[in-house]
Amino acid sequence: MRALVAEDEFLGRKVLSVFLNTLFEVDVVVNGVEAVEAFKLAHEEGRPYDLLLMDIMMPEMDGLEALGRIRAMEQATPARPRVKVLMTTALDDPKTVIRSFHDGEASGYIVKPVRKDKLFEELKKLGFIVE
Amino acid sequence: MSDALAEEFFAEVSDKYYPQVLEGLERLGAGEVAEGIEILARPLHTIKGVTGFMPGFEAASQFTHKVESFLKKLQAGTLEHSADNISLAGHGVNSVFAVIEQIRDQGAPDMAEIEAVCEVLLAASGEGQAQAQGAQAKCLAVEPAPAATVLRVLCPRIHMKSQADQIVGAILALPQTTAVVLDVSAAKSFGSGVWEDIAALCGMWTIGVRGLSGACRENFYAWDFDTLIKPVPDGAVPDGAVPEGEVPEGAAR
Repeated sequence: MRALVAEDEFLGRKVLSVFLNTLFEVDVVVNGVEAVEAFKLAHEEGRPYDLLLMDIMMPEMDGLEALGRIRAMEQATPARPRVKVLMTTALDDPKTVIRSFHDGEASGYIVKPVRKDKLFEELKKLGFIVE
Repeated sequence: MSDALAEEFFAEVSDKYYPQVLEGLERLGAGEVAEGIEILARPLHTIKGVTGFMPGFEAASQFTHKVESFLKKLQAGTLEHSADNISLAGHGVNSVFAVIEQIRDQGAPDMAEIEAVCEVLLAASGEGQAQAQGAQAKCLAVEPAPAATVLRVLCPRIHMKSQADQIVGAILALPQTTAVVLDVSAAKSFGSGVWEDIAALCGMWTIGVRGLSGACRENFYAWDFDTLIKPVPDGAVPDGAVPEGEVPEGAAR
């Protein structure tokens, strides 16, 4: 399985990669523009991502806009399964949370700091970890 | 944070999701299954996600997930687009909103109601269907009739949760316009918990009972269930039954 981590903070990228690398082949990008590019490239390679961890406040393009572009690409190719997206962000205001689920069709939302148990709980809900 | 989120969420539910869901249900009812489910998908996904994130609302999230799964099976064609399945889908979606309202108004959902709806969805999905059908063959026979559907209890003792679930599930699967008569002639004893589960549906379905005898009758009257579930003679329809073709006020369509 493949996962993409979109996170602008060095420490955050490192921690999330370490958490995920026992389960996924992990790629890391540092902003929304790179996330969209990586997503597109993975599809062109025929090896799309199964999971995307998306920060929201990132330079160049924020996570919600990047997610909107990714969903639009998926909409254009509806036969492909939609990537599961976990928002990993410091933002916890109601509008952002609701927008993430409604507009971005996120599968989960984790407020930073991301703890391993919380992340794995979400991965279980999404079926990536079977007990 | 969670209070502000709950407030915003309820505002969204009422302003944005209700109208979307009503449109989706209308399409479903008109036989436009794919379009209806497409419209329902977004608000339900949002409800599942946001309630999963809000402490105290986890049960609503898990329940919404099950309703969503049922809709996805309908959409994928794994489940037949039968009138029963469409009606169940509508009932599941309505129940999601009922659960949210229960949490908002009472602080907790009615878990028995959630379990009963899940059981019916599961049985209709084929998961655990063999078990449900096998048990139903022993405990309950459903006999549709023009005036009222008769649920004939076949077991001599009705006390178990699974038996209550079968009876409740059979009622939930019926349109609310259908009067229900529970025939307990074959039952020698009937648990108050089971009566309680059935009585909980009385505001939504017109339910009568016939064939009460022995310990079954004593327990029924001892707990005053006759105030909600009306005893009816053989062949009669419970009071309040709606003539065919009419829909009671407030009933889900």
